[in-house]
Amino acid sequence: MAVTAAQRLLEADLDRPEFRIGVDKGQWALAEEVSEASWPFVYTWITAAPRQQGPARWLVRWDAAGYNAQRATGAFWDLGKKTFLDASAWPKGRDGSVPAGVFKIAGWAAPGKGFYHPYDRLAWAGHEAQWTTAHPQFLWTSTSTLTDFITLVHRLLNNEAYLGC
Amino acid sequence: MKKNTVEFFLHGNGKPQVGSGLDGETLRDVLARLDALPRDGELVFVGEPEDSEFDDESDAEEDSQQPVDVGATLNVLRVRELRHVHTRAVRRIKVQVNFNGKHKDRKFSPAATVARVLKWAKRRFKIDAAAGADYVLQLLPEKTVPRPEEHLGDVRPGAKVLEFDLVREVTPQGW
Repeated sequence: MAVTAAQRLLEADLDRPEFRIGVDKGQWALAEEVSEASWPFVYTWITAAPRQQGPARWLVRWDAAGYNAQRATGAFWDLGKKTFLDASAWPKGRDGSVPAGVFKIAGWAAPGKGFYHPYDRLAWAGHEAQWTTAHPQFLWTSTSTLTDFITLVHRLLNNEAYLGC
Repeated sequence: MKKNTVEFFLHGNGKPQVGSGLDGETLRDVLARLDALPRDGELVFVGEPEDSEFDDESDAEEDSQQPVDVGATLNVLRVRELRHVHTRAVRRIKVQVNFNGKHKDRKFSPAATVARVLKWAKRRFKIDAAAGADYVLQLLPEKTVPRPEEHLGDVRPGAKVLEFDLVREVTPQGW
C-alpha cells in the first residue's frame, strides 16, 4: 500500500518541534507509529491531570483522512475492545465548563465519536456559519496541525474543571 | 545518535526547530552551524524560568532568569537537561494583561511560556483555580489564543512588549 500525501504531511507535522516538545514534557505520545496499515487512523496517549477517578492518560484515536486539507476528527478509544470508548467512560467536566462541552457525549450528531469543537470534522459539519463567527481562533487553515488539536485536548484534560471519568 | 550528542529545541530562529551539538562544543559554535548566532544586542537563554517564583508572597515583578555566555559548552550550560535554547532574544518582555477593565504588567523572560503568564495573571487578579478554569490569554490585537507551551519569544519574535486580554473561553454551542 502506498503512503498517501496526507500521511506524509501528518508524519512531517509530528516530526516538528511543536509535537516533540509535548512528547518531551510527557504531555502526549504516539501510542503506535503512524503506518500505511492503520492509516488514516493515528493513536496518541494524552496525559491528564491526576483525579481520584481518572486515568493518568487517555487514548485518542484520530481519523486524519485528507490531512490537512480537511480537519481531523478524534475520540477516546478503547484499546482492549478496539472501538470507541463507551460513552459512560468518557472524561467528565464541571457543568457548563469547556471540558464538559467539548467532551459531551449526548445532544449532537456524533456523540462519543468525536469532540464537540470547531477543530473536529464531525462537529464542524453543520456549524460552519455559526462557528466561523463565534470561534474565529479555531478556524482550520493550511497552517493548522494535528498538534493544535492534541494540544487542545491536553489542555482540557489538565483544566481545573476536568473531573476524571 | 552518539552518546555525547545533545539534542535540544531551538527558538528564536524562525519556527522552533530541533538542533544538536556535542557535549563539549560551545553554544556559539553550535548556533553558528545552525545560522542562529545572536546579532548585536541580542541574547541567548537556556531553559525556562523556574515556576517557584510565584510561590513567594512577594510576587517578584520580574523573572530572574539570566542570559548565558555562548562561549560556554553545552555541558556547562546543561543544555541536555534544560532542553530549550532561545537565541536572538531580548532581555525581558513586558507583558500587560487586561481583565475586567484593570491592567497588570510584569517583565518576563522570553523563555517563559504562555502558561506561566496565565498562572501569574490569575494570581495577580485573584482568580481562584476553580473559577479560573475556563480563562485563557488572548493576544492583542490579533485576538488569537497562543498554545500554553508557546514561549513568549516565539509569540511575536523580537517584540519587547506583549498585551493579552484574560478572557473566558467560550464553550462551542449548537445542536
